[in-house]
Amino acid sequence: MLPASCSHRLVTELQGALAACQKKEEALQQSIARCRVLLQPWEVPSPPSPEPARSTETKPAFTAHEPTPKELKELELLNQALEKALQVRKGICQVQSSKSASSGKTAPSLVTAQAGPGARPRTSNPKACVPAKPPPTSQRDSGRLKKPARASSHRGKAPGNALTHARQPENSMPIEGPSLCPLPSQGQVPGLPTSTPVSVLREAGATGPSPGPEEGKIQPGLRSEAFTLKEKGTQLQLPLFYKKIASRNSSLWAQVQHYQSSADTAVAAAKAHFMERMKVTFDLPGPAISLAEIQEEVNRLDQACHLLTQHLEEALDVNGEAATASLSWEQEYHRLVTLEGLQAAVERHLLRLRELRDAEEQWLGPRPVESSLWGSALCLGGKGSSGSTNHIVYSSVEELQTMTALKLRVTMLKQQIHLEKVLMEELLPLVRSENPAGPAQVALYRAIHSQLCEAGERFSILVRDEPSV
Amino acid sequence: MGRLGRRPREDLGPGALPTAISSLSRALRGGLGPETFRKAKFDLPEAVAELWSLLFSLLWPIHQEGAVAPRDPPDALEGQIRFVKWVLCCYGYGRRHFYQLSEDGSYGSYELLLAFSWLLVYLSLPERFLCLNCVHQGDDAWICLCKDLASYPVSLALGGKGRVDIRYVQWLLGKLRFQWRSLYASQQEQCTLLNKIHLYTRGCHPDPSVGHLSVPELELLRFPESSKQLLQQLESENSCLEAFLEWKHMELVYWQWMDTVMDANPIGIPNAGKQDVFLPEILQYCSPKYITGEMDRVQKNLEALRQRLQETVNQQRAAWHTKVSRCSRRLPRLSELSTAMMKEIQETVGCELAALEQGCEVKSWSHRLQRLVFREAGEPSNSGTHQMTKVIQVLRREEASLEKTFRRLQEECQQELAILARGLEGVIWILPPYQRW
Repeated sequence: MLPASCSHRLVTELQGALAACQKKEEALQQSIARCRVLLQPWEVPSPPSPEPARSTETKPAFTAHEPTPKELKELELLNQALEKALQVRKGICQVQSSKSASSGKTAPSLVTAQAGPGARPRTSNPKACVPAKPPPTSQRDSGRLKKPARASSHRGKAPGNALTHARQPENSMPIEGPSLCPLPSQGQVPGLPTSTPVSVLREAGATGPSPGPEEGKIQPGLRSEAFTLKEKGTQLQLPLFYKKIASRNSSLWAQVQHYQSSADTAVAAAKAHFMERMKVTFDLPGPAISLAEIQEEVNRLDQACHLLTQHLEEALDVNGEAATASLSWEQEYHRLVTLEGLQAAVERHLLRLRELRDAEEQWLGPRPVESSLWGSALCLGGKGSSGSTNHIVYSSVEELQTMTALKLRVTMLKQQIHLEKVLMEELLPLVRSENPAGPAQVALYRAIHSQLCEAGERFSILVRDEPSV
Repeated sequence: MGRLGRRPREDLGPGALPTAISSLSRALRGGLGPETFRKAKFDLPEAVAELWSLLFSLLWPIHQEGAVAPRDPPDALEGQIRFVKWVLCCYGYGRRHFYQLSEDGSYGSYELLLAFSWLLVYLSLPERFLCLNCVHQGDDAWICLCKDLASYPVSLALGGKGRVDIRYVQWLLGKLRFQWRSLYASQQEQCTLLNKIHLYTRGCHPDPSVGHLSVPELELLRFPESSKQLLQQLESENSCLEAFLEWKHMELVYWQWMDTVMDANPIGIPNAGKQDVFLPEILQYCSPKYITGEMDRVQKNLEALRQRLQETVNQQRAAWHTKVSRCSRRLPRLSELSTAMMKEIQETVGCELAALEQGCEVKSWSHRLQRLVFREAGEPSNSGTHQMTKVIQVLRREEASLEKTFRRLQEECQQELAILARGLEGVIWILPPYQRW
């Protein structure tokens, strides 16, 4: 068994590392679930025969359009298929909604399971509908421009229905329409496989039109045309109201950035004058450098140390593991001067650190004897980052994957190095102090060796050397 | 409003100051009116509570952003006052009268006005606040690694009590390794999914420099119900931005007024005889032991680096001198390396190291939030964007150097344990097969 303080510290550090990884994993899973939901087929009610000029301000007591007998028959078939599907889904849905605390990972798998049986009766619909579609399509296209206006006006009728087409009987689901090119409005009604995981995941309060409890009220008369992002993604359009707000937003930010870049000298002078006057009135005792500035400088020194180490590694690594003899005169001299320069820089930084420490002591008084591992919950926010977002562009999925993999690797290495140092501090003294006694001790050494030297991946073999008699 | 030019200052009349103050207030999402500021100039007590809560509502979110473990904000006025005093002390605000203000909020509006104006400059408050509450419409990508895993604080409570066996430690470490692997897999999956979404929605975004939709925007389309919140946030951000731009036009008036405020200076603070401000008491609000912890860590790293440099430099110098002496025995002067060239090399190295020092300053581009944009190779790109290839290069360099550091630590351990292994009697220690690549 390890000594108490050693155990405590090691377990603390490792549990902390595990907790951090766990947090990150959860965030990733949430993000993945969100993406998956979007990539699932989007359910939209299809317009049987859109007439763009029709006024649609009224409630959906659509009796203007008489259904043809052919369409009625198709409707019958669809109703039956839908009812079957709904019953199947009802069963699965209730199971799913009961475990609403499930993690994001299980929900998508349920989604795919549901989408399987549920999608089949659905995918047959578009094909059945398609023959009836072509004439309306051309009308739809011409009326496309009018759709956004209508859709936005429909937004006001939130609890009501905003379907713009005939023979949609009462739809109990709130349907609002962002403009979607071939289909003027978008409904969620039979979109069970896709929106239930949303209701599971978005328990924080987004009221996605979750159809769980309202399932029973779904009118069988709806025909829906599922489409995936893959097929029709390029035809999506953001709703007009959003576009307006977003474009206003970006133009305002552009103006703000313009102000930041072109500084007004009069204002700057006035501000500086004010700060000077304030400084004159400062009468609190203490060193000139504030605690916030101390923290910033310490961070900077940390970064500097990191960069200097990196530079050292690179300088030593010129020509690979080349022996000194193979370097040219210039290269060798370059290396020597670089190393000496690095040495001088390190000395400077250590000196500065000394000064910062003294200043900090003046502020905080004598330091506590034990150094606690608990980072303060409230650390001083830095001076802050500026500006709105910038764009980072990638050109292929491999690039993105490489970058994220590298980022992960770098943080992992940093964590590994930190843990290695902690392990060295805690375990090496055990090795040095005690003399090997029994097999338990030797086993301990074996474990320590494997962990410290081989990152726990390989083990040495210890053989007892019995003196042969 | 849409002009990017500068409005001339002649149109600012006597009503400019209240307008300026109300714009500032709106930009900071606060409800303070110009009356409060006027009262504060004359040190009237009615303005005190409002100003304290203004200061608190500005400083708390800024520090929550930097904090790793979120804490509940103090409800009572007393707690808020203490927090504000602590923050200002850490920033180096030095007016003694401010710290002597009582914690019941009965007086001191003049001091608070001064403190507020000081913070406006020190923290560039309106801008900082806007950036803090900026609405994210795109897929965010953090390039910098400061907020990543290794910097999480460790709670002492996780340690538990009692002693554990080395095998438990080994088990935890193995668990950690598995976590890493699953993180990697999840991340790769997320990349693929994001890329698919970006690919499928090409051409849909009104902004041509972006070109495709992001996940929040798609969700807007998919689930219009939940989009209301996003829209509300955007609208309120727009009004804050507009207020900010108005403020910027009229800012000079405010600073001119502050000059008069400082001249006014209602001396005769009633508690001139109170006890002196005891600084450590204020700073005990949240004892920043982390600073000292950080300093210890940085010191250890720097000292280790110094030691390593010392060894390496001695080695190199010795090798250099032998080389030089060997040559100079044969030749009268060093023809391979003239003094001019030596000087040149010295200058080059000087420049390199200076650039390194510059690099220690915050890498301006990498600490900002970036929006992830997909663009096929070959399409023209703006100058303001940062290609991912650059980022990858930087990361590769870091990875290489970190790996070397890690290897070195392992070798150190190996040497030390080898000494031990030799000392073990009666045991033969067979090392695992040497697999270095």
